[in-house]
Amino acid sequence: MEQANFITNLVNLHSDELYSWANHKINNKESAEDLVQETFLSAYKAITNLKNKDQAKTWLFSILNNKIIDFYRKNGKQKLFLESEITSEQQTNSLFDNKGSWENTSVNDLWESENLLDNLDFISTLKSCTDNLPNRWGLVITSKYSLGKNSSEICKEFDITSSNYWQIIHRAKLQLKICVEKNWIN
Amino acid sequence: MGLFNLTCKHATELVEKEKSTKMSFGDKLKLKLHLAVCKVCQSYKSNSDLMDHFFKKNDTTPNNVKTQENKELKDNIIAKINAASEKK
Repeated sequence: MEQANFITNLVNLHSDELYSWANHKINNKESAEDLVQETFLSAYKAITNLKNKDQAKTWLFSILNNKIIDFYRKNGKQKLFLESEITSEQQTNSLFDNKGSWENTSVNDLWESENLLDNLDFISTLKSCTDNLPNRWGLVITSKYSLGKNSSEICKEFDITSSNYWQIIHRAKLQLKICVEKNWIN
Repeated sequence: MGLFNLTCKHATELVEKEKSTKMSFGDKLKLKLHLAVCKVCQSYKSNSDLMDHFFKKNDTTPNNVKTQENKELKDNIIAKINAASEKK
């Protein structure tokens, strides 16, 4: 009963945020609701895995992200992934000319600022750019850095080759570069 | 294929390849030479390192997505959890 109370409390605190994130990622209300519900039921069953109660929110998001990845895997990932990736790929390709040289050979001096990672405006710009990456690219990044998965696990989960893997990281970072340069006013 | 025969597009790809997997000595050398002479690719590399730090330090758990309330979902989940706890 105590565990049920604990989880119920987490539902009250975080279910709206989890739902909004799932809906943002898969763009389907019913499926997003299902995934959030499954997330809390899995959390309830696995509550002993949560060592540090202060990290409950991060923990719930990591469960949800795994479920979103599964969702994509089961639902013909090609179709769902493709559109946003094609658009982003066109954008990152346009950074280079047809010989593979940079179109713009001057370095944007916003990157030269010192201690960028202590700059709250910069952090929040980079964060919102990351949230808006094409779904699969964002999920690869979350798997690598926040869930701490290694590259072979990630390749297996997303059914990609190891060169797909570093190409995705490459494109994602180029996309973030474009997005930050466009949206961050220093 | 000369040593300097590396486009910027490919060089920036190799920056990521080198971080994620083993890379041949030839590719490593080519990348090193390219970075030594190409300012824009040097800048890409430092951006890439910065983003790595950012991803490691900051949980990529979202906080910029606008939160929508969904009371019905909340109630449903709580009911399910209560039902599950009574079964125990």
